[in-house]
Amino acid sequence: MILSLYLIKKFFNALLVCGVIGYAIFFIFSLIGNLGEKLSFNSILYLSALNSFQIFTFIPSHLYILSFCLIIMHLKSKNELIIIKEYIELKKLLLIIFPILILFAFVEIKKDSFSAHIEKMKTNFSNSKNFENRKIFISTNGNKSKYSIFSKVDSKNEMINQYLEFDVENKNIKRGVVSNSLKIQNNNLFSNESIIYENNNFRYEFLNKRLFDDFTNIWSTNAEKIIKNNENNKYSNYKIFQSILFHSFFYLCISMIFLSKKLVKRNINIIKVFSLILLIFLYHLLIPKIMVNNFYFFFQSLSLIVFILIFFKNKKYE
Amino acid sequence: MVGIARSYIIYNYFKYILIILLVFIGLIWLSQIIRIIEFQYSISNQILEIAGTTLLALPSFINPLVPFLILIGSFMLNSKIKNSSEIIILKQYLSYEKLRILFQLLILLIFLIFTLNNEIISKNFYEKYKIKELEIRNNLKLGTPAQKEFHIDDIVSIFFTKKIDNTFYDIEAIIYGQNQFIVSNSVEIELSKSNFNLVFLDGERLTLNDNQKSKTIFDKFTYVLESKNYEELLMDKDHYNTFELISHPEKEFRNHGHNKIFQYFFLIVVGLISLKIIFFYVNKMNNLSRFSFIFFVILLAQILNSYLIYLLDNAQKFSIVYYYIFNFTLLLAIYFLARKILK
Repeated sequence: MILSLYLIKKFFNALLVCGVIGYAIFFIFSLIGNLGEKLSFNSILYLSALNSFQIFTFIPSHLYILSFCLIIMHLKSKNELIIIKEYIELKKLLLIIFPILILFAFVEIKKDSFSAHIEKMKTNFSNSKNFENRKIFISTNGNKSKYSIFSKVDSKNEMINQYLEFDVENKNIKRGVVSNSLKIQNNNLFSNESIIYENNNFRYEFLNKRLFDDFTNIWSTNAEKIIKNNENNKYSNYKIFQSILFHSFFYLCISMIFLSKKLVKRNINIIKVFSLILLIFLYHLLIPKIMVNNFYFFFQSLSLIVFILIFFKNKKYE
Repeated sequence: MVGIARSYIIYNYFKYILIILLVFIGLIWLSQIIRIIEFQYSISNQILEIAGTTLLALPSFINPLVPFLILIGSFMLNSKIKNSSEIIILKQYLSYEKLRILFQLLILLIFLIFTLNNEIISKNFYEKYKIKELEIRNNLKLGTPAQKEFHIDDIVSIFFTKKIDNTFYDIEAIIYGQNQFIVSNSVEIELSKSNFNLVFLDGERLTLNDNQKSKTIFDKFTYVLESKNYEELLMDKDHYNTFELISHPEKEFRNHGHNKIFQYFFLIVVGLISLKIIFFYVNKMNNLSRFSFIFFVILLAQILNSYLIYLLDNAQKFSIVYYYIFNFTLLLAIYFLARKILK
């Protein structure tokens, strides 16, 4: 138990050191980049601070790898790694780091949302109007598709200024709605008046009409700008499940490499280990970004299998 | 023996600096790639192009970070030789006096590499980077073929089923500013002399804005992207070396030139401190707090320098003389403070 606590304490110390150093480096990098902006110095500092956080959200796994690297170097230099490996078996070691691993896997899954939130904060702060203030919901069903576009002109005000809706059927525009008089009541979006195109006619509608249910929640929880709901639940559940497994196995593989017997040896080839970690890291970074038109599920499943195989291969030699 | 020990220090000093440099510049590079990809909703077939382009900007990213990387490198080297007790042996055989020339040569070497990168390498690579970056932007190479979406800033979104070269097929498009929705067989991106046109063929268009409410069927409809002119190559500060910046007609560029001059002195001071760090040893004492303090002082100095540059650019009364007086006083204070801490 003492050894477990010692390891966790060491890991969080290493995480703190890596986090602070990384943040400082990214901060200076962002600060110098932002100096040319026509903003007050305080604003530049604030934007640089946000930028630095955003870099962390782009690649959170680097913190895990660098922290592990630091802790292993430290343990090895004091010959503590041999003692730890002697007294704690790999399963227990993995169990100790499991909460940290879960934390990082959670951050990985949520990183796009965190990054989008920071981007939103930056946009709100610099008062710039951009794509962030618009969300498009697309639903398709056979030959039918529906586009619901919500625009927020004033980014500081949480109110939606314009609602547009277009319905397409068999490559023909069947219906169109525009409303500039909107209000949110009990999280639902209502329009007071709207112009509707339907059956080749334009008409005004002065009715208090519910446009979107649970709008506030959907707006705040969906970080993406384009939300497609033609993906069925089975598909999205699979995506989440696949994503959890993918990130968890990535972190497990990295942990396995750092905690392997090989690293205890004095004459270990560091370049070989470094190259392996770098390859896994790049693989983990790039694979979720690659979208293939066909066999997407197979492609993603294969990438998961690769990590599972790496994990079991390393486990076998322990 | 002394010669081997010297080589050992030099080798490890550069090894750690190089590792830290590769790690952080690598991370910045990756974050830049991901940033561009995410902003443009694009990936896959352009990734190598973006990676290649952002790679060209790396030399200019290195310069402001070098002092910090040197500091971290020397912290690591100190930690290594302290933990393996090599520092005691080294201190026994090599006094600071014996190492003075070696230290001076080391600083000179780092200074030369920094100057070479600052004045020649980063400038040349940055020029190439900007040209490549503009090529990507102007040719609208960024898109999302796999997600079957193509977005041009906050102006147009095109959803398609097939894309061949610059033509998208079976499309549904939204033109945001004009509240237009278009369904057509194809749309081609046409590059005219000064801007971009979207040529829609065989389709229908619904407009729902304040000035116009209409639905039209068309054989050909051309939408001119008026606000999307060819981006011209603007010469920014990284296009120039220090001498060119100092003699530039614009005030901001001249100020940046003075900042570059200050960075040379900053590097020398940090280099001198880093050499003190390598051989810092107090028995049974954790150096982390001392090193952290030095790191934060150096970080603060760089932030203060950024503030002074900001004042130079924006405040009328703050002259270049004040800038140098303040900064050099600060550098001297930091150097003597670090010497005291590392005694």
